[in-house]
Amino acid sequence: MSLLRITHSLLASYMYATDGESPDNAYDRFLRVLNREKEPDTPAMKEGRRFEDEVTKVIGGGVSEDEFATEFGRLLDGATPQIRAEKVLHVSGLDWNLVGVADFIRAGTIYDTKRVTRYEYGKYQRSTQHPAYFRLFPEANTFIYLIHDGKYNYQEQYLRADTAPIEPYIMIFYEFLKTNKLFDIYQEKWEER
Amino acid sequence: MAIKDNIQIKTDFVNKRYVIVIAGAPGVGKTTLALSAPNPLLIDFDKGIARVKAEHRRLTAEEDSYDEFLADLETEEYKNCDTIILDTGGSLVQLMQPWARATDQKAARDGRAMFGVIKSEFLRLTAKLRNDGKNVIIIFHTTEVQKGDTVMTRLSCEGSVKDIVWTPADLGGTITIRGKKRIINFSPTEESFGKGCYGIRGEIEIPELTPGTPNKFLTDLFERCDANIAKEQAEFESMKLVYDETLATGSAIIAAIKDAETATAAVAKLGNLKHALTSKAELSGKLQAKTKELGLKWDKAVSAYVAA
Repeated sequence: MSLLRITHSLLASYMYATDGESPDNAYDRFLRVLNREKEPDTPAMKEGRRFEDEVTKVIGGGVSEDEFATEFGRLLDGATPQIRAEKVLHVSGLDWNLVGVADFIRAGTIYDTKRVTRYEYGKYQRSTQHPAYFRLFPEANTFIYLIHDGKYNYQEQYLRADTAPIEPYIMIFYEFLKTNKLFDIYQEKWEER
Repeated sequence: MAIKDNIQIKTDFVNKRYVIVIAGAPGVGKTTLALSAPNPLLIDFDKGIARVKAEHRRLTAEEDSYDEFLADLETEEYKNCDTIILDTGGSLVQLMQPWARATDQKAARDGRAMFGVIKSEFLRLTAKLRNDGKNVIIIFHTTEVQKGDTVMTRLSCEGSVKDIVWTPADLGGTITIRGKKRIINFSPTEESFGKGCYGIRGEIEIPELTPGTPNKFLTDLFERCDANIAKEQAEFESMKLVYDETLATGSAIIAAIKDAETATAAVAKLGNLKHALTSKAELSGKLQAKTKELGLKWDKAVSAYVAA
């Protein structure tokens, strides 16, 4: 039986494209993600990576000129950066290989940095990231988003006990692909070799 | 020196103070609930103390300006209280607006700058209250926002104080009325925000206050938090000892990797360690980084690291 790769980013792209309030191009963007088309990094993506690199530098004992990255870096003292994990899930009669890379983990808590331009508390409440990562890292019981909007640092915390499992999200995604005749494309592009 | 070891942290928890956000529609009993905290001083920005039953009223300061409030933070009443209740956070922000315009030239001209000043002042204020050793309860009215098919409740407050207030909060809950029951939910749901901690999460029914019933819901809740913290700390300490030892041993094993052969041998050694908390995942991450640095990849066919 084939093994289908699934990531939080793919699920997030699908959910954003179909939530009814997203910009018109969100669905086109989802189709490009589904087709695994390489897209040039946007300035926002570059800034996000720069911010995370600065945080990592501080954790490693370095000095950053970015005061907000320094604040998060100090908070994350001793954390391990960039931990990749994968887990095979059986959902809707298919095998899915859930893959993810945690920004930082320390003593039972997963941390993910987010560099955004606009922030409102609860932004990540419906995210598939913490459900997915709780599945990938079964020993972690807390997930904290560390958010910076250019002016301030924020935190949003989610507990395993309050988090829905990831499987229903995958189930709904699969139903969507079948209904919209996109499953063949997905299978072709995302099947693990 | 602000760095604390586990023993110092444990000692600090003995006198732990809590920051809690209480949200809900008008009339659900937010202020009465807040007044159930230990030895409270109510800062009544909303002029709503009259709506609380007389037997549940406590020491109250009615504020007409932010400067007046700041002056009240110098009084003996403030120094002697254990809990300070800001009722409501939305009204506090409104009261801060003329203060911000008067104290900051840019804020006087530019609304966005004014809310920036308010945000900074709010952070300073909450930090001061915590540093003064007070429990801090911040009450918010809620408004409803349509999000797709769901009606979500949001804290009713101008500017972004409603977003930053959750970061220092230990607990946050939204009160709803279901039938004749009043429920506070400390977990996030599709409809509302919540924040749980120290073993407090999900829905908790607020007991009905009949005449003569002591109002002590939050006092009891804080005591539960204290007990849970002590229990969690004891459990965590034993796991943390194993975690620290395993991470140290595992990191030394990984540091000794020089080539494919030693990397393959390290996998077996790491597998034999006793793991706790996320030590297994973290050592896996460190191993990934080290083998990548050495240009090695795992070959499933031979169950060994080989040159990439």
